This record gives sequence, structure tokens and C-alpha cells, in this order.
Amino acid sequence: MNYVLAGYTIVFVTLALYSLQMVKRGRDLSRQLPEQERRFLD
Amino acid sequence: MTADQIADGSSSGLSVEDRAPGYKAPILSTGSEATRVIGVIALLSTAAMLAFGLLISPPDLFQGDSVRLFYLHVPVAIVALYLAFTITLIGSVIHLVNGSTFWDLLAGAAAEVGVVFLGLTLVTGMLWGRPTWGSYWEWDPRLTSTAVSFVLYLGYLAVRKLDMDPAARSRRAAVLGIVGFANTIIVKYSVSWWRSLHQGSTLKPLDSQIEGLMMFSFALGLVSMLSIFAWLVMHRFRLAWLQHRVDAHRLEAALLERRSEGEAGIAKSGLAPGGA
Amino acid sequence: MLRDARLVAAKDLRIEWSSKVLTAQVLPFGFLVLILFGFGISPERIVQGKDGRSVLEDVSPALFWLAVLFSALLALGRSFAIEADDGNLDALQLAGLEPAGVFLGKTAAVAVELAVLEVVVGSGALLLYGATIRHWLLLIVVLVTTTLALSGAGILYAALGAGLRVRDTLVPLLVLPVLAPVLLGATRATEAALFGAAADGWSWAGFLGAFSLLYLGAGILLFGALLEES
Repeated sequence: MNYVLAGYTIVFVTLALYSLQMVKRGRDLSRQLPEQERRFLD
Repeated sequence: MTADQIADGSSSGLSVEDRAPGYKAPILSTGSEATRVIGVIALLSTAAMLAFGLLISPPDLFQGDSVRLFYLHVPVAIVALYLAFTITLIGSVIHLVNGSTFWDLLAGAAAEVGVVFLGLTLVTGMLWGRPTWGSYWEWDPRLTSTAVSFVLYLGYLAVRKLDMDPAARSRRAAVLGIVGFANTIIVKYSVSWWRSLHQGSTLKPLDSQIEGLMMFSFALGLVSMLSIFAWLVMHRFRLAWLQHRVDAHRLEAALLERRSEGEAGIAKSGLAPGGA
Repeated sequence: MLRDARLVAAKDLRIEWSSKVLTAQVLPFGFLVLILFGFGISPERIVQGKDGRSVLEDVSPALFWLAVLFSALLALGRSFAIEADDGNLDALQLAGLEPAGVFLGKTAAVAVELAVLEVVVGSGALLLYGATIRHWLLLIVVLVTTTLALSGAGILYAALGAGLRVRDTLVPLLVLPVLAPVLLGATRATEAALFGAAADGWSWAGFLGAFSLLYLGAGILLFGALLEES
């Protein structure tokens, strides 16, 4: 069970940190562009 | 507009506090309606998956509690190997055919998130192997070929980060995205063949019957990982797109500056062509 | 296309011949790797139940191909170092050479270099590790198919790093995972040629042949996209 908990912890902590870093980078980059250009291609 | 103004955002009137009440808030992040909905689905399915996978579902007859890692490991692996790199392949092909920026950026976004998922596949696979096989690493075809693919796509990401002409870089990355996918299949095939020739190492990962609550936990895991993947790829794509725009602006500003310098130089030297 | 290939191959081989980098640096390197493996795996250790072979002899196919693989990295780096430094790849394009021809030519030149390397390093391995060859024909077919696979896939991936400052560190990272199945197949087939069961060896040789054809095809199709700028 320890291995199971370790696995779950590693996966979700990694994904959470990655998501947070993603959002932060998005904010930083958004600031560098004029507002009307912050649209996305999709 | 100079590069500095663009860089600190002062030209776009970013400060939300200055706006009159009722003004539609400017887009400040890479989020949107769609990602918010997907994000909620991801959080809910993850919570449900934790409850079912860790607490409610019964331990397996043969594997005991280790089977719980499967509800996580298999969906992560499916998303990485079958979904992420297929998107990269398709994006690469389309980019090479018509030079589409959208598909190029999407290929890169899917590859980066895919590498993260692939790394997690390896970690969870090893953590499952330790109690089941007695060692973190066995030269099992799946494990081995996954490890090679992991390095291969790290190489792809390295190419995407190269400091060179963006168009050329995208083309090189696209070639890598296509050949890399083919190579993933070759690696898988050759390693399986190698291990099947090698006597006495038949490791069957799934001897047990999976049904009922276990199946449900697995399905929840799949929904959770798929929605997290979708959320991450959308954000990563938008990041890449923002970066693309920022780079274009920097270039534009630099060109403008250079041009005005040139004009000033000509004016000073009394319109002598090529005076500077 | 084939005419262009011949021109490029002849040019590369002429450069190698006059610069002597291959003979003076890459060949000794391959030989050195063989000796270092001998230090790492002590020659006195005997494998139980394998006709009294020493560990070193038992793993000699793997060591031989690893030595070739590492030396091949040097040869591949060289193949683009002689081009990119003076913007030569652009010149080749301007001269009206087809990208597919350039690819095949560079592949052929590296294949010739690797063949020389394999003969020299292979003789060294036989002498140093004390292996004997049982199936000559199989061994020769394996050498040929592996050489094509290494050079075809190698040139395609080495081109990804052409003209970059980080080429020396990037190319091994890109090339080695791709060549991993080649190393696997070549080692198994060579084991079969040295120690027995030729049937297994032939199917691996078939795999190596298919791999080289696949990469030669991919290179012919995709090399243009890589050259298109530089």
C-alpha cells in the first residue's frame, strides 16, 4: 500500500505543480501583449 | 510602440483597477470557458477516482492493494502513448504539408504534456513492479520501450527549444515528430521480439479478472487523466501561441527601431545614401 | 537523384581521405573503447554453463556494436561539420542538387566509413575478446544491413542538428534512442553468428534490413524539409 500511495502522490503532485507553473507562465506572457491580441487561434 | 512598452504591458492599459465598473475584464490568463469546464470535470473525476480507487474498490485477489496503481498507471500510459504522441504526429504531418502554425504549436504542446505523462507512466510502472515482481525494473518490453520513447521525445522537446530561425526549427521538429512516432513503434516491436525469444521471462501484468468496482475505478481514472490532459494541452497550446505573438512583436519593434535609427542617421549625414 | 548522390558521396569521401580525421581519430577511438571495455569487464571471469566462455567473449557482440555506435556518432558529427561550417549545405542546394540525392550521398559516404571502421574494430574485437565466427554469411549480411541502418537513420537525425552551436550535444541525444533497436538487433544477430542458432540471427538480419529501408525511404522524403533553410 505504501507503493500505491507513493505512486498516487507523485502523479498528482507533479500534475498540480505542472498546472500551476503553466497558469503562471500564461499570466506572465499575457502581460507582454496588447489586450486585443490575447485571442487564441482555436 | 517600443519593445519595452510591449514587454511591460504599459501600452495596453492592463491595470484592471483603472477600468470603470461593469467593464469586461481583460483576458489575463490562458484560461477560458472551455478550460474552466474541463478543469471542474478534472477535479471532480479525480476526487471520485481517489475515493473509488484507494478506498471503495476491493483489493485484488492476487495482487492485493497494488492493483490500485493500475487505475492510475494504465490511463496515464494510454493518454501519453496513444493520445499525446498521435496528436504530435498529426500536427507534424499537417505542418509539413501546409506550414500551419496552429498544428505546429499543437504538436509541441501535446508532446510536452505527453512527456510529463510518459515520465509518470514510468514512475507508476516501477512502483507497481516493486511489490509485484520484486524489483523496480524488469526488462519487460513495455517498460523498456517506454523508457526509450521517453528519451526520444525529450529530444523532440530539446529541438523545439533550440535557439534558431523559428520556421526552420518548426520544420525540424515536425520531421522529428513524424519519424519519432514511427520509431516508437519499431522500438516496441523489437523489444517485444527480443523478450519473447529470451527464455524464462514471461511476466504477465494482468492475470486477474477486472470487473465491477475495479472497472469503475479504472474508468474514473481514465476520465480524470483525459480531462487533465485536455486542460493541460489547451493551456500549453495557448502559452505557445502567446509566445509566438510576443516573439513576432519583439521582431517588429526591433525592426522599427532599426529603421528609425537608419532614418535618423541618413538625416544627420545630409541624405547621403549609405552614409552610415 | 543517384547522380547527385554519387557526387556528394565522392566529395565527402575525398574530404575524409585528405583530412585523415577518420583514420587518425575515429578508428583509434573505436579501438580505445574496445580496450576500455576490457578494463571494465575483467577477462578472467567465466560464464557458467556456456561452453566455458569468458564473460568478455560472451558479451563481445554487444561491446563490438557499442564501440561501433559511439564511433559512428563521431563520424556522423563529422559528416555535417564539413558542411555547415561554411554554409556549404546552402551551396549544395544552390548548385541544384536534389535533397534526396544529398541524403543518399552523405549516407553512402558514412556507410563506407562505417564499413572500414567495422572491419578494423571487428578484427580488434575478435583478437582482444577471443571470439570465433561460426556463420560467416550471416555475419556479413548483418554487417551490411546494420551499416545501412546506422548511416541512413544517423544521417537523417544528424541533419536535425546541422549548423547549430549545440550540435555536439544534441545529435547524440536524438540519434541514440533511434538506433537503440539497431543495436539490439545487430547484437542478437551477431551473437547468433558467433555462438549458434543462426535461424534467430537471420530473422534479426531481416529486421535490420527492413529498418534500413524504412529510414532510407524516410530520408529521401523528408530530407528536403530539413535542408530548406539553414
